[in-house]
Amino acid sequence: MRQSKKLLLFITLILLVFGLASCQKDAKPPVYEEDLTMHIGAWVSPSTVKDEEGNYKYITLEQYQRIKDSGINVIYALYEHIDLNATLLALDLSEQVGIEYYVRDSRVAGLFQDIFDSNGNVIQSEYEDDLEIFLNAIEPYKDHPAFKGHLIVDEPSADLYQWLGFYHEVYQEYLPDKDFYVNLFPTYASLAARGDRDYEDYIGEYIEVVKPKFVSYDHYPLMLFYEESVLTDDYLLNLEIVATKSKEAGLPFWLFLQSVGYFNITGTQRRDITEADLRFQSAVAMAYGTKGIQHFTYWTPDSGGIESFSDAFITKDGEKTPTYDAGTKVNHEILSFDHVYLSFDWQSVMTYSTTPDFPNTNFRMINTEDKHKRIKSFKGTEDVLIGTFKGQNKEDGFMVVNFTDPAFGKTNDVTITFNDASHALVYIDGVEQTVKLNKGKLTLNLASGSSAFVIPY
Amino acid sequence: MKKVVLVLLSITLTLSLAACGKKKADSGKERLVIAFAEAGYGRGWLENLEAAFEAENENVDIILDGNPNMTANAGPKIESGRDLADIYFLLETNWQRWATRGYLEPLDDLYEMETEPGVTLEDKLIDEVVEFGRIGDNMYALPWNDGVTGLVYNSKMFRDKGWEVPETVNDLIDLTEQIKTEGAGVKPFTWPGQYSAYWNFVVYGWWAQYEGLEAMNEFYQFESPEVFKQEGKLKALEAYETLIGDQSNSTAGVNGLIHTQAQMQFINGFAAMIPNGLWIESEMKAALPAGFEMKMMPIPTIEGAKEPKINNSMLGDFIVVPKQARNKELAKEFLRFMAEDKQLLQYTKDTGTPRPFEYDPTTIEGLSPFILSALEIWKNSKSFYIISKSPLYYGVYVNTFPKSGAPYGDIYLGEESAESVWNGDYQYVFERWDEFKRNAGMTD
Repeated sequence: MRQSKKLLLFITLILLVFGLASCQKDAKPPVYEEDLTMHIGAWVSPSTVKDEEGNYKYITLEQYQRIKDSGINVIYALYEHIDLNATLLALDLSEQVGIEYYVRDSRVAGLFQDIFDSNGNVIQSEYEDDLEIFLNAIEPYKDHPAFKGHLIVDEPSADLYQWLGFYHEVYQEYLPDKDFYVNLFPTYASLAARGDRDYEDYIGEYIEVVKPKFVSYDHYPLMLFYEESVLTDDYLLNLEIVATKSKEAGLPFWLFLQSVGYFNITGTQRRDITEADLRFQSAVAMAYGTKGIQHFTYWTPDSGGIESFSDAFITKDGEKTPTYDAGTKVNHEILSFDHVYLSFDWQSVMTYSTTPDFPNTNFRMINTEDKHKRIKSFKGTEDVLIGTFKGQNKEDGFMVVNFTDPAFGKTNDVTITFNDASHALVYIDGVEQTVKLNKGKLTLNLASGSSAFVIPY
Repeated sequence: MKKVVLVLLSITLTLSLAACGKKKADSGKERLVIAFAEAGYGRGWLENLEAAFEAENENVDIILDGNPNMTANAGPKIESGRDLADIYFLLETNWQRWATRGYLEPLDDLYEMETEPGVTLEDKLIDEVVEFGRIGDNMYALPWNDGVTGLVYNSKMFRDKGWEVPETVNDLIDLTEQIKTEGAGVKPFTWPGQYSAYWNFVVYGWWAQYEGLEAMNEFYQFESPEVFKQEGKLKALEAYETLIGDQSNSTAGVNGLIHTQAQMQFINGFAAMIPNGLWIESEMKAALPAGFEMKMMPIPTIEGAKEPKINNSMLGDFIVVPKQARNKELAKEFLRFMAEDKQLLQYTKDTGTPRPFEYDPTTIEGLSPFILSALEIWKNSKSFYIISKSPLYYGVYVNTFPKSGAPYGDIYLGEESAESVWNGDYQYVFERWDEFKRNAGMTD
C-alpha cells in the first residue's frame, strides 16, 4: 500500500511536469516589431535670448542634445515666432541631434483669415496675396529634414474652425507631409472661450470641419489649493470625450501633461511636478489610448502679470531641474515599450473603487464597462483605472493604473484574475516581465503614479 | 484562529458599511446635494447652515460636496449633467454662458420669496446687486459673497510711528515720503509684481470715486468703444503712476513677488501697506507674527471725486441651481433660508465676510480688528460692483484693460505711462470693435 502510494505520487509528479511543460510550450508570449514610436512632444523650445555678442545663448547644440537625451522627439517653438534666424538654427540643431521641430512663424499663423467676403466667399486676390506670403515664409525651411510642421493656433474658439478648415486644406496642398498643429481647450475652459459649444461639440466640430490628422488638447489635472493637492474632477471625462471622438473618426489623439507648476491670478494653482506625477499622467492618458504625450512645458516660460510658472525641465537660465531628470526617466520608460503599446487599439475603460457607494468624482463622471470577457475579476487596495485594448492579432491588452493622486504617495496592490490565460506579458513602468499566472491570477504592486501594461496569454 | 477572527471582522465591517450607506439612501428623507468651492472659508459656515436648516426641516438630509477646485469642476458637470449637485456655490467665473445655454434653473421665484415677513429676497439685496443674476428676462444666479478690497496697513506700525491713515490720494503721496524718512528702511508698499492685478483693488476704487457708480456701470455695459475714454480711468492710473512709478516706494524686487511672498514681506514689517482684500487675514493666519496688527483703510479719495467713499467689492462669487438638478424647489428654499437675518449674521461670523444683503454685520461680537475695520468700510461706503450684461464682457472679448490685461508692472518699470495705457486700450478696442461684436454674436 505504501509502495503504491509512492508510485501514485511519482506518476502524478511526472504527469504534472509534462503537463506544465506542454503548457509552457503552448503559451508563447506575443512578439511585437520595434517599428512604432510614441510621439513625445514638448512645448517651449530653448529661448531666443542673446548674449552680449549677439549670439543665441540657449539655441545651442548642448541644449538641443539635452532635449534629445530627455526622450522628447518633437520640440515645439515658442519664442522663435518672429525670429527666422532662431528658427533656422533650431532646425539645424534638431536635425543634428535627431529630433523634429514644430515651427512657430508669426507670418504664417494668421493667414487666410480675412480673405472672405460677407457671404463667406473667397476673395481671390486676397487669397493669392496670403498664399504668396505663405509660400515665401516657408521657403527657407520647408525642405528641412527636422521641420515637422507649424504651430498654427493654441486653444482656438470653435468660431475659428471654418477658417482653420480652409487653411488646413491649403496647407496640405503645399505641405502634405507636415503637421498643421492645433491644440484644443480642456473641458474646464469656459463656454465663451470655446465659442459657446459644449465640449463634445467643440471636439466633434473640430474633427468634422478642420479634418485634422490628429487631435491634441491640454488638461492640467494636478491642482493645489491652500496647500492641499486635488485632481480636477473632469480629468477622465475630458479624456473620455476626446478618446471617443478620435476613435470614431479613426484619428490618434495627443494630450499635454502638466510638467510645470503655475499660478494664475484667478486663484488657479497647479502644483510643482514630481516623477510620480509625470508617470501618473502618462499612464492615465495611455489608459485612454493616447498615441502621444506632450510636456507643458520644456523650457520655463516667462511669467506675465496674471500668470507665474515654477521651473519646468529647464530653467529660464538654461539649467536642468529635477523635473528634467524625472521627465527623462518617464519618457524613456514609455519609449521602452511604446512599440508594444502602439500595436494595440483602445477599446474602453473599467474602474475599481474602494468606495463603491460613492466613488471618486472622476469615476462618477465617466462611462465605464462593467465587465470584460478576458477578466474574471479585479480589485485593488486603492482605486484602479484599467484601459482595455485589442491587439493586431485580436489579443487583449490592459493598461492598469494606480488611480490615486500621486501627491499622497499611495501604493496600490492590484489583483486581476484572467480567463483563459496562463501567463502575462507585463510592462510595469516600462520594464518587461513575463509572469506565470496562478489560476489566471496576476498580482501587481503599483507604486504611487505607476501603471502596468498587461497582455495575458 | 486569527484568520477566522479577521474574516469575521471583515464580514462584520463590510455589512456595517453597507448598512451605513443604505441608511442614508433609505432614510426616506429628501436629499439636497450642495457642491461648493471649499476655499479660504473652509466648510464650517456651511455645516452650521446645514445643521440649522435640517433642524427646521426634519425631512431633509443635506449632503455637502466641497472641493477647492469646484469652480472649475462645476462647468463640465453642469454642461454634461454628470455627477450633478442641486446647488453650486462658486467663485467668480463665467456663469452667464451657462444661463444662455439653458443649463441653469431660473431663480425668479426665489427672488420673490420672503426672507422675513413682508420682505422679499429681492427687497433685501443691496440695490446695486439686484440685477447681478439677470440674463434677459430671468434671474439665474444669486450673489454669494460680498467683499472689501483696497489698501491694508500695518496698524501697529502706524500707531507706533504716529502715521495718520491718509484720507486723500495727496495725503497718501505725502505719507509715502514720511514713511521713507521715518520708517528706518520700511517701504510704503509691497505688492505681488507677478500678479500685479492686485492693484485693481485700489485703482478701480479711485476710478469709481472719480466717475461715480452710474458711469462705472455705463463703462461695463460696453455700448461703444468710447467708454474707454472715461477720464476717471486715466486719473486713477495717474495716481497709481505717481505712487508706484516711483520705484523707491516699493520694496526691492517687488516685480518678482507672488502674492504670498508680498504678504510675508508685509506681515514681517518690510512695508507699511499692501493692496489686498478681506481674505488676507485668513490666508496668512498661520504665519502672522505675534503682536502684528493690521487694518483695512478706506480707499483714499482722489481729487475731483464724485463719490468719495467707495468700497471696491470685487464681488463675483455666485450661487446657481442647475436646470437638471433633482431637487430644485428644496434648493431654492435653502437659498431663501440663507438670506434670513439670523443666517446672514452667522455666515459673517463664520467667514468674516459680508453677503450683499441689507444687514449690519458690525454688530457681531468677537470679530478681529482687521475684519471689523473692513466691515466698517463695507457699511459706510458705496460698494462698486462690476455687473456687466454685455456679451462682449462675459464673452471675454473686452475687459478693463483689454490691451495689457494688467498694466501695473509696465508702469512700475517705466515701460508704459498712465496715458499710454489709457490711449492704448482705447485704440486697441476701437480698431477691433466690429470684430469683437461679430465674434460675440452681437451682429448679423
